[in-house]
Amino acid sequence: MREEEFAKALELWGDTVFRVAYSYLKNRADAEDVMQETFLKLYREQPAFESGEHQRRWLIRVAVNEAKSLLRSAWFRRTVPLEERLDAPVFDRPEQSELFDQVMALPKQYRLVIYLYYYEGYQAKEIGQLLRTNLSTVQTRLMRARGLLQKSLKEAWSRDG
Amino acid sequence: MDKHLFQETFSQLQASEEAKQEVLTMVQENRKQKRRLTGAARAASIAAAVMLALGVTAGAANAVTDGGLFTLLSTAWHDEVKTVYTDEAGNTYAVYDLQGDVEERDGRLFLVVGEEEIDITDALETEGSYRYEAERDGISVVIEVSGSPEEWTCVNICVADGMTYSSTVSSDDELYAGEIDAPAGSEALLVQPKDGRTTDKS
Repeated sequence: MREEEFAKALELWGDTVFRVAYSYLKNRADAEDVMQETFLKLYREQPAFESGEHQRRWLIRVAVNEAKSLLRSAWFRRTVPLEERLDAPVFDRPEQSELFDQVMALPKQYRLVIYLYYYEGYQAKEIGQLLRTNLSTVQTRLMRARGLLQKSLKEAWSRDG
Repeated sequence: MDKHLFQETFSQLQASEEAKQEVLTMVQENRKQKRRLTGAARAASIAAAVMLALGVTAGAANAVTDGGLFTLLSTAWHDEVKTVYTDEAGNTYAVYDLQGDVEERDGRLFLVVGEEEIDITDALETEGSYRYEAERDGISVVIEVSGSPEEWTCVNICVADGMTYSSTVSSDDELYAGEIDAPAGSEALLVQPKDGRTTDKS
């Protein structure tokens, strides 16, 4: 893979990969580590892609694997609490901040499917193929996540007036 | 869920230019070193906060799936293993979370049950099967994966509330096939109408 092609892929999908990792890890530093590892893997392995979409899906898949590996590593077995919001974006509007907080408060399996569905625009079947999990699991996670978000956002927005 | 708001919000979550440039530099110099952060984020601490206690109480959480699996009108009760929904007619639906998912990653096969992830590759290669058993809060689950890491079948059997639920999925499946005593075809495992009859929900 030429450097120009690599740079283009990074420009196109770098933030996508970062967001996938962040949705799993809730930590900017580790999400950026995963982003870098994912693209280094792209450069080392140089898989043949049929299309841009094929490349995007491959990158997402690798990012999820890398994030899971990081979670299982010895480093992550420490349990000292972390202020997770230190590296979150600063939002212009309170409803954006509230939505972000509530999505990040979901369990990681829910956060990822919610992100892939609402941001990346994948349907449940595609998410199942992407995550190598069955369709009904994805549907259940989506359903539960929506239910939890609707409840928590409704409470937050009525609390904020 | 407001898709536009979601996209507006999460588009602001971006990797730093520094992180992207580092990758480009590594590639340009053809080095394979791993990036190490020494900043406050990593120096402070890292929490393995995998699951938050959701503690959802009864509320009107309307949820609609895009796959037309079922329409739920309210969440009556929820904990980490079981969620109970009710519809307008007073029928109740229980969905149990003790389900095993088989995931393939980088040539290895994992059985994922809740937050637990088990590498079952070697077991399938040498024994041709892997069995998982657990019991919690009166719910028993047995998950058996058989076959090979390339072609496998996963059978989930859950015993809860006096009922036995089973489901089977294989590496060739696109859809999850569920059975509750009689075929049901979905994860909504039990329907109890107000008049006490028990029917399948598909």
